[in-house]
Amino acid sequence: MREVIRSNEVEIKTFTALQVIIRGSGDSKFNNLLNKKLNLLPPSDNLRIVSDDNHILAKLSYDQWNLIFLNKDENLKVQNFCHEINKNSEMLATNISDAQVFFQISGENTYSMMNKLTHFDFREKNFKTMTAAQTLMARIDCNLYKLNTHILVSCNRSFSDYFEDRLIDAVNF
Amino acid sequence: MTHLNNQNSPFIHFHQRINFQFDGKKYHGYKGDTIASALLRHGIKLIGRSFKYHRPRGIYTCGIEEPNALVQIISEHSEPNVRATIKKIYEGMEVESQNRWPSIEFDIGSVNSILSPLFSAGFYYKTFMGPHKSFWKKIYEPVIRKAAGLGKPPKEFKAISSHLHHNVDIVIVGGGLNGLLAASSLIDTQYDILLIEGDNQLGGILNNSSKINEINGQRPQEWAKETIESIKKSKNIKILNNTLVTTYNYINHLIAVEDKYVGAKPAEDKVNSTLHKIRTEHVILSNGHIERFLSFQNNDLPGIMLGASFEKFICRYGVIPSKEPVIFSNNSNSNSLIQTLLELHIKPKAYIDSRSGEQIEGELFELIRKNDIPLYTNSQVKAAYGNKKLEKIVVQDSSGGINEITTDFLCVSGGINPDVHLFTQSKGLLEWDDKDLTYKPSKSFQNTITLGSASGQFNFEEIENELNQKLKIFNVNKIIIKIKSNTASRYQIQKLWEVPAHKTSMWSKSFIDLQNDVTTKDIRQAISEGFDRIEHLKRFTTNSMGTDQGKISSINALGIVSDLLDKKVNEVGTTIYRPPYAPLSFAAIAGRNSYEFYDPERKSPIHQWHIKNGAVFEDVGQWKRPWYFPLSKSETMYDAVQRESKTVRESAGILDGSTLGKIEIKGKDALQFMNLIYTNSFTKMNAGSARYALMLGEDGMVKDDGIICKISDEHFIATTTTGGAANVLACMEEYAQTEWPNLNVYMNSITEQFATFNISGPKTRDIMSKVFPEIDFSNQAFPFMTFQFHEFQNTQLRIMRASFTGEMGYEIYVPSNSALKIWEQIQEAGKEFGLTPYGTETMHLLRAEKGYIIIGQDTDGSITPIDLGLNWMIGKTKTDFLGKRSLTRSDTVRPDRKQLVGILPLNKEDSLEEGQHILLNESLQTPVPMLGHITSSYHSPIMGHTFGLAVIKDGRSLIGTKAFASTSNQKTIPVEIVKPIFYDEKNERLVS
Amino acid sequence: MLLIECPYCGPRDQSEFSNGGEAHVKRPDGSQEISDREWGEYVFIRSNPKGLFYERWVHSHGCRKWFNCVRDTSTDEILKIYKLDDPKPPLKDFENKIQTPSGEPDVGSGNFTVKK
Repeated sequence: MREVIRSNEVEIKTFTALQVIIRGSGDSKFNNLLNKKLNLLPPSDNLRIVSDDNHILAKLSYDQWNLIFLNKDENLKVQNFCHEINKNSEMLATNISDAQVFFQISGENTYSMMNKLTHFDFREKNFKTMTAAQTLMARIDCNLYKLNTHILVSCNRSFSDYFEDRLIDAVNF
Repeated sequence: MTHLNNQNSPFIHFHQRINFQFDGKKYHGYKGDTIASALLRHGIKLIGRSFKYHRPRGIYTCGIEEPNALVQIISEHSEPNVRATIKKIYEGMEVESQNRWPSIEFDIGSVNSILSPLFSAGFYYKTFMGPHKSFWKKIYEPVIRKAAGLGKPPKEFKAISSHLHHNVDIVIVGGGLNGLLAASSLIDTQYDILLIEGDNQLGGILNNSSKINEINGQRPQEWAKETIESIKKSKNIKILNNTLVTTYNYINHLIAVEDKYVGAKPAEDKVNSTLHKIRTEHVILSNGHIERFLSFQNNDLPGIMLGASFEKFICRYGVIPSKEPVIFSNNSNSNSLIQTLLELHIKPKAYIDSRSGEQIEGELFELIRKNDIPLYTNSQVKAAYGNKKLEKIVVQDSSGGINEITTDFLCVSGGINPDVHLFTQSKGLLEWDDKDLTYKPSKSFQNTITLGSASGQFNFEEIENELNQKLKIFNVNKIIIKIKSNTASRYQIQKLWEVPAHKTSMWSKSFIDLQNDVTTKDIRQAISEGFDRIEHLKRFTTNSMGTDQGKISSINALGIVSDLLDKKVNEVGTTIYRPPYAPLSFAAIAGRNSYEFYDPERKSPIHQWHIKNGAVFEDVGQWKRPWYFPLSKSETMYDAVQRESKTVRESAGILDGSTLGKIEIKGKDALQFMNLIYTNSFTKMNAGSARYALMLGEDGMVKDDGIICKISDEHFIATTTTGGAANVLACMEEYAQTEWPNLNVYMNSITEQFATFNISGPKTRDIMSKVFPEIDFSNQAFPFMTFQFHEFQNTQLRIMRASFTGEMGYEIYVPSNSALKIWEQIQEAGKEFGLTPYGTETMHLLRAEKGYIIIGQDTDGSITPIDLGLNWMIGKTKTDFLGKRSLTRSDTVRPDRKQLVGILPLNKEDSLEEGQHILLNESLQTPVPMLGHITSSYHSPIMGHTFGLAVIKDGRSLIGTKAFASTSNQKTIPVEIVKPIFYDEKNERLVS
Repeated sequence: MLLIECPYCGPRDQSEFSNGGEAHVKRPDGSQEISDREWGEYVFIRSNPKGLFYERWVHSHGCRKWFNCVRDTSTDEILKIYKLDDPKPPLKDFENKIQTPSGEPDVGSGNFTVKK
């Protein structure tokens, strides 16, 4: 994890993580398979996050789940996971571990800082803890994961330099 | 001139002097002063020259509705059209008056005033025609352009402005009496609330006048202070001051601009202004009212000001513009002005009211009588006279007699209007009130509540009822508010829009719009010319089209028009009030999305290597792609591209193709889906093979191309163009969701997951074998248009044998995190073989030599696959795919369609260029029959001359014909139309 | 700046969506014989009513799912949002809103400011 900036009651760190996009119908066969592989039952409510020490699993729409691996050196495990899931005609697991960059944002001014870059409504009553969303931030497509102690924002790696500069700018200005 | 100071005003810090300059002269004011209030302290009346006639103008109001006092602030970025009545001074501020040369006292432009009888309504539309067409471009436009506008634009502007988004439940616009009451009743309720106020002080009418004596037994200032404190302490209400709401959009979306440097010089490295973008559930408009003026002869002289503004200068800004003002009114709003003056022991020189004695309230009558103020009832000011400032007025009294009164100041009040700009922006409707003679909010379209004078409720005693009734929906506790005011309990007004002229002459002017110099005569003339619809009238006369949108005068215009047309004001209507409410700078709108942040920048996984190795970049959409790699600063682009191209053909070259889109498609019905999306048939394709494919629009036109790799009947990987990546994925999703939801197929983007290296050239096999010794690259093991997966240094690679250059080559897909490491290994291994990195320009050249098209360059959305000679890519037995039916439309099968061909110059030295038109005939006499144009053209190092691809009508049948290309300097080049391939027609090098 | 309620993500700013034109336009199955005119109408012709309009939106910068919507084009009011496989709400559900072919809604078009 690299510190991006710590100032004005906002702390931003950046890291990369192993990640898989899983497409499927979300039926019981789907849930059982994932539960077996991960020891984690996928959320059924849209936009909900379930997590344990090793994974964050978010349902981003009725047929898409994002799975983030919290431990670093599990490359092989992720490749095998995708390979196994892809054996099913009705599912697609795409390894996007190299495709995205994550930013971890915490601190009292987190949401007022983020609202310089996005219109998104972060209020608890409209965006509960352990909820995910896809939206625009600094005009870039982002995934948001609101966890208990901080919020994770991920974007495509090609944008990451520009995005990081925008975050720093938003903290300072 | 300290005798003009009102030390009682709590908002001016008289012990803190601030020095500033106006038109080069030094003045001082105090902390809290605006430019206007500080200048008034020094008795300065002349503040600018009017737009059209260059008439001397003074400060007319004390707020955002100011039409005249627009000044220029000189600093690093010269800011024009600043309202002197709003902008607070800071130490060292330099202010300049506008629209005058050489000086405000002596302005050459005032000659316009003498010529003014010629500048009638519709002047702009009727003049400046002829005597010849060229006169507009050469004479009129440059002169008008120079004279246009009020201030001067800055030469460079680098203010820092930022945006801030809000999501709340209630926005209260206006922190005056009603705003504070509404907010305090909502403290610590479930609602998230924003209270927005334009001034740096909350309080509104409590600060601006002496109208209120007591609120719930407290003095108004005390009550305000307590209320504001408790609002600040609340958990759910945020106060934004110095913030002006400029726009009320649909749905309940507000734009507001916050000035972050009030009373201080803007810091260069801090935010000057913030643009707030607010989404809310409810809007409460408590933004008050605006006083309007009256039209009479020379009603624009410096020394004439609105009555309520005069009072606001005294109460809010602690300055008394004059010790002997005359007051002219047709309504009861001016009563408190007289009270305020008398409290300071100032006696107005006269009080002129157009109403009769009976209509004037008893208390006011008493006050006037007791203090011996000269009173004129049933009277009107017919004209004002003076040389660059007011010196005397002419009054017609109740008996019709003419009186002259010497005075240096006249306070005018024509009535009050609820400020309905935001309400109408919200698409709410207004209704004319015949008693109060103004437009009031009537039917709202969104969740809008209006309170107080903003809703046309001018009665302080009714506030309690109104609040309790309108805020009921928020379930607030009953609000109890008892107000004692010294003003007339009921607002009373008698109709008066214009006072008929005293002495009519060609130069007598009674203004209806001060900023745009529109007179009441212009209105009459416009109506006589047939412009009797209010929207036409506005544009023909430019009435209310200035930066103030006629805030103090547009209702008067409607009154005059309704009298002239003998129509009810309701029938005349009003023009649409458009956002922004007050001028908004582009810097505020752009926010931080400017300069280096103007557009998101996308970089490939090996971007750093390109920088280190001297790449010159070009923008492809948001991507930065290497354009060419000059060996040194002195190598030109032309030389670099020729060198790179030659090297690829003779040794090897490698291109970073990571920006091209990659999509993974999988599912039981993936094969059927792919067959429907692309023109090709993938059914008989072997697993492990790759195929060049086209995607059409439903109109049959080529939209995108790419290479499809078939892993199995249920699993494909497709590439797209760089610019088309997002569109192709979106198109696939659209059809999968809306058209063929019964097909079981998913698609994910993997554009960012992999970097793509395109390596090609005769030495490629050697290089690849050196880097990947365990892979068999022989033709038998790795045929053309096949792909393989390989483990390499703990990474999974996909290598596809394909090339866009016409030399044998491969595309290597490397997970992005490992890209740099493997790229560098390839560079290292390639050194001994002369491997060169190359950029997009070389790539374009090499593919053109092979006749390969580039989407968007050789196609433009009007080209079918058959036009391109790519019939072989259409699956003949397929019953359906995107655009299939369109390929047999009468328009797509007509014989003279433009077809792809090659163009060669007959003389080697002649230069073919993209965009040149192809003609069969050398003659350039118009009309020239145009066959088509050159879409791509380059200088080929192999051929030693330029060549091109072109789309020409019935091109294929013209192959072998001599023709001409027309150049940009009206000459023609002899050319030959050839097949669109210039290199290795048999593809021997490609499949070697 | 409309507020659009994506059936999957909830209410979001208009900037997250792309408009997809008229809804319920059936694509003629390419395997059938169909005249140039009929095919041309599918490819090029769409209705453009003033008043109630059945249209499609896609949540491009969100879940990327398509959905349908009934919008009054004279006031921009979104009256109903429904999923792709939900039944098409009949016109009579919106009886008080039908305006076409001519006429002006009572309020909300932004074309006039004074109550009629």
